[in-house]
Amino acid sequence: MTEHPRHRLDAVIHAPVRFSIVAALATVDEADFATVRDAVEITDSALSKQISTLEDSGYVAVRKGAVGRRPRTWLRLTRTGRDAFERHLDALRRIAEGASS
Amino acid sequence: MTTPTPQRPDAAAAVVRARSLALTSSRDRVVHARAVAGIGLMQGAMAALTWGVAANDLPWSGIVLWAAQVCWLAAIVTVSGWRESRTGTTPRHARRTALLGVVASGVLLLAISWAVHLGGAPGVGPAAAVAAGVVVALPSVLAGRRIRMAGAPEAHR
Repeated sequence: MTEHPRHRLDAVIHAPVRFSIVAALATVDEADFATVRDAVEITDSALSKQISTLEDSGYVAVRKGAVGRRPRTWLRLTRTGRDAFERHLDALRRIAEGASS
Repeated sequence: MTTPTPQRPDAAAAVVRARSLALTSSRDRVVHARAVAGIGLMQGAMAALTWGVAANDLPWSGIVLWAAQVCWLAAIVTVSGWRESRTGTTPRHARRTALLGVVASGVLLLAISWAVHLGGAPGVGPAAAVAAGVVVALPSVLAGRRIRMAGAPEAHR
């Protein structure tokens, strides 16, 4: 018997806001903090908190930079994060298709 | 940590939401494409100058090449800064595509430089120098086109 796809869901990515952040970052090589914040429609502090969680899990890498005198933060999904997201999305697809065994 | 199992409609909705969250805009693609093509054109111009001016051993070729190299490096820094300031994202695979294009153009430029400065290659006329420049620029220009076209279907959605 094959295991139920729910066992392949990723606990870190499963939270709705983090899922949106990771899904958004999966479409790019890198994105700046403000672009992700606007796309996911959350506050700076909420995004910072979620990014910290994702960074601690090794799913997101943060790069601090500057454009002129303005500081800028760039976010990137790591290979581990991309693989975890693919597995999570695959599990969701299988649940949506009704796979139970 | 226990992960609650989503119901089928919730799982389907999450998959749809994941597909709808495309961060890269058409403008970002254009900026990245123009940046890599611009760097390639500068590499091409350097190749044309190197072969067309240096190989002909003109009296002022050393100064021209030195000034061109300074301008070239300054232009690359300027283009990189312009790209960073104008974009909010780096489109998927754009970094790798740009790197491949710039490295390929760079290898061709180096080959011409070595042939002229170390191999003693004979000078060529303006038309041939420009043709060599076009060949050198081509990989980067094609990389730019690939970055631009990769997002074409999304841009029209």
